[in-house]
This record gives sequence, C-alpha cells and structure tokens, in this order.
Amino acid sequence: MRVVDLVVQRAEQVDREPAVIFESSKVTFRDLLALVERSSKLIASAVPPNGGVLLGGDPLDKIVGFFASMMAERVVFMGIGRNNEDEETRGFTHLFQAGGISSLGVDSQNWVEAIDGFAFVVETSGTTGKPKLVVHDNRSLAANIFLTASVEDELHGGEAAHFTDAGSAIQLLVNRSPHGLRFLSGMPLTSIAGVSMLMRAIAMGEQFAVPPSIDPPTVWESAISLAVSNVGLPPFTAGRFALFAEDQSRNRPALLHLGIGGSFADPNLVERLESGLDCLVTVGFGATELGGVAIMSRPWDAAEIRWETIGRPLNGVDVVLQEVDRRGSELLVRSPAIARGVVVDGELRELEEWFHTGDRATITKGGLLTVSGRVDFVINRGSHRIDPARIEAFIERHPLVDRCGVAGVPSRISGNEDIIAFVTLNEMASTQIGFDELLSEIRHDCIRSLAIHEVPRRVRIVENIPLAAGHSPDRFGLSKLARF
Amino acid sequence: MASDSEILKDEGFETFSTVIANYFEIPVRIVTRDARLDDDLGFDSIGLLECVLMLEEVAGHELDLDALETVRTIGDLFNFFWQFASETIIANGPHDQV
Repeated sequence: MRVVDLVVQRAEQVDREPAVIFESSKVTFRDLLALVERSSKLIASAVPPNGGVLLGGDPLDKIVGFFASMMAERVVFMGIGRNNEDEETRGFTHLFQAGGISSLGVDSQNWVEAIDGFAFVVETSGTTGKPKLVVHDNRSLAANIFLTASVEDELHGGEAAHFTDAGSAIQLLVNRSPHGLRFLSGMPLTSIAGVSMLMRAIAMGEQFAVPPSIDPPTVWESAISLAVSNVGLPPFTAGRFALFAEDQSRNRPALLHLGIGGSFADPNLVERLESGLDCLVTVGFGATELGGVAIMSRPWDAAEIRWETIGRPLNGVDVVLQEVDRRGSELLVRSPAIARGVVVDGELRELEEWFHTGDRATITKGGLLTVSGRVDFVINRGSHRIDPARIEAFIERHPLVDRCGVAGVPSRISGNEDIIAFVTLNEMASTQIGFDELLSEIRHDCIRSLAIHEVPRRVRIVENIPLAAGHSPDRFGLSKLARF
Repeated sequence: MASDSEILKDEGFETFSTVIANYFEIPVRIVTRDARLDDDLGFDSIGLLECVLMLEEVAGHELDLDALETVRTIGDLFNFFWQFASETIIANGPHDQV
C-alpha cells in the first residue's frame, strides 16, 4: 500500500466530507480523488518514467498534482525555483504545461533516473543558506504520517504503535477514525512542514484549509473565516499571531491547537500565544531531511514543558547528544521518516542513519530536549557563543518590526565578533515613529531584556532580510550583508 | 562662576560624548554623564575595551586599564579619560581617524 492509497480509502469512507477548503470552494474527498485520478492519467501519459513533475498553479493545483504524481509513480518537485528562469538555469526544460502541472525534461539530472517510481523532491537550505534537494519516497512519507498520527493516538488515550514498514503503517492508519479537525498551514506547500500537514489531514480523513497566502495577517483572517481547529505556523508568523491576539480590537480564531515549528521559538512567544488565544501551543523540532517534525512537546504536557523545551522524540524516533566542545553537544536524530537521500553533485546520496541536526541541545533526565542554538553560525563574543536566532526572535517581538536577521562581523577586539541586527519594518512603522528613534528603541529593548553580550552593536533598517528556502534567515546572506 | 578649567571640561565632555556617539552609532542624547555603560548603553566588556582603544587613539597614548575597574558610567569614563588625555586634544575635537 502507498500513501496515495490512503487517500483512496478515505474517499470511500468519508466521501462527501470536505477534504480541501480553498477560498470559497470546498472540495470533497470524492471530488479530490476524481481530480487526482484524472491528473494522474495525464501525468502517466505525458511524463516519462525517468522524468519529473514540477507543480505550479494555485494551491489546489499543487495539492492535486502532488497526490496525482504519487498515483502515477513519478518524481514530483516542490519549491524548486521561484520562476521559469530559475528552472532553466538548473538545466530543466519545460515540455508542456497543463492544469498547473509542468513536466520537466531532466536529461541532465541523472539522479532522477536512479529513482524508480514516486519521489517527492523538496528544495531546502535550512539555516545554512546553501540550497539542496532532499528526496522523500513512500516509505519516509508514510512514516511521517504515522509518527505525527501517533501523537493523537496518545492524546486519545491509546498506545502509540511502533513503525515497522510503510505498508504496515498505512494499514494501521486506514483503521483510524477522523476526529473532525480542520487544519490550516501557515507554512508554504513547497516545504516539508506544509506537505506533512497536508498529507496527514487528507490521509486521516480530516480537512485541510488553504489560506490565499502565507502572509501572517492573511493566515490569521483565514483561521477565523475558515473556522479551523488546528494551525501550524513558523515562529515568525506565530510572533505576528501573538501581537494580533493582544490587539483587543481584533477577532480571534477559535483554535484547539497551535503548533510552531521550523526554527527557534522564543519561550515567551508560546506563553503569550496560549494566553492570547486560549488554546494549547506546542513547539516541534525537525528538519526537511527528517520528514518534518521528529521531536515535539505534547498538548498534554505541563505549560513549563511546552514553553521551555521542544519536548520529547515522537514514538519511534531516537536521539543522542554528541559532544562538540566543552560548551555543549550536537543533537543527532534517527527517524523512520528520514529522507531517501539528498542530491549532492548531481548524485542521489543516502543519508546516514543518525542525522546531524547542527543544533546544540541539552536533555533532562526525563528525556525533555532543549535546543540552545546552532553548532555552526554562532557568534563568538567574549567567552560566549551567541545564537543569532534568539536575538532575532526577541527583536521580531517589536510591533513595528516585520523580520529580523542577525549576523556577526569581526570585532576590533581580535577573536571576537560584533553583533549586527538587520530589520525590515511593517506597514505601521512609517507613520508612528522616526526611524532613528525606532532603531534606538529597538536597541534599548535589547539592553533591557537580553544578556549584555547579546545586545547588537548596531541595528539597521534594510528593504529585505536574506531568507533561505524555508523562509528562515539565510545565514550566509546575512553574513555577506553585515560585511558589506 | 565656573572656572576656565571647568568650562573647558564641560566643552570637553560635549566633544567626548559626540565621539562616543558617532563611533558606536548611538544617539548623542543618550550619552549623558549618568548613562550606565551596560544598562543604558549596552556596552559589554568587549565594547568597553573597544571604547578604550578608540580613546587611546584620540589621546595619542595608552591609558591605564587598571583604572577602568571603577568605571560604571559615561561620566566615570570621561573623568578617566580626562585624567590622561591632554586638554588640547579634547578642546580641538576628535582625532581624524575616529
């Protein structure tokens, strides 16, 4: 059994229930399956087995194309290139376009031929700023659904089953009853987090609502107008949600659960969201290579755990800490949802069993994990190794700041770095306060609330913060910007 | 009535605060005598050291770092600097390289 077979099963079980809610239309499971089957035939006839499918069009096109590629057993590319020019520079050639689906000539991509059947290829750069292609298949995606569904099993008093193989996992998932939830993702459908939420919702017979854009105000309004119960957000959007929730003049979404994932989440943010939205907030930790979330705090955990840690590994996921230096250890994760491989120098390379996350972590005796920054991309100052994400998360709390990116530049004092913070401002900034006064205020906020060695030497306004594929700050880009 | 040396010292502080503000790109209005180096201006030990290096260039000679132990405010730092720097340099403004 494949993941797409779960969709077929659900279409038989819940038939006329909404599967995808997009703008004013509700696509039922039956209609979704019909669209997927039709597109699947189109793909199978037009895309050679060694070819690939690039998804375009609106979110519904992407959703249909994703499941249709699964059904047609072709490689599907998500989040690769932002326009045609990008794709051409990668050696891809369009063969045709229909219904939002483009077929790609991939003659120069030998690694695609090594994939027999379906694969989901997603571009990511994490925090490194170096784009890379991560390849998932039926096995890793089935494991991903299984792992996240196991949290709900635990929540409903059941015992989470262990993942053995994709076929068995899907068989077990077929028998699970829907809980009547409506999910909404503030993460792009081109990310593993967005696709993970989509798959889980549809495969479990729940509903998946798509906002018109992932711009925070739009996601907020969509969460209200589409009456969703569960929302998944990156920390940046979650930060905006906290501000909106504190604005007494705004309506609020009635949420059961808000999950934050993607990069560092400020503990203060979780607390503010819980207070402002009166719903449970959990933090997840994962990576594109790990198939999305692998570690998370659970909805039933005590507030302090949800605020201050990333929780425990999902059932079936193992972690170890490997000492990096006297200051700490790197988190290594072993997960059944690990990707089939990554593309390196045009070749598909398998990942090692234990995935190096690049994050420093600590673990309590009870197995609760806390991430304290990156092994790489830390800023050295005095005896401190400073995580730029912590400073960014703090500055992004300012009501007039849209995004923040922090980098270190060599200090005049040898062996040290100075901290430079770049900010983009939101639409309210120009009318409320002078820019010099604003920068001074931001820095003063840092002095009051951050450790003294974390206070940026300078805060500068820029038009854009360099962002990586997952919308987290591009560390290489920021470093270049700081040295400019 | 203020003595000439007091007037000179006040003028020196104006120049001093401007030099500090320009060098660290912070508003001169917050570089007051009472401003605490850490809690008001955000200088950590590395920032303070850098500040002293910059002042040494202005003064044209090395400053006594041991005396920094008691420096807490901009006023303290100015007094520390004034003690060692020549009045001429302060009165004439910052060194070109600052």
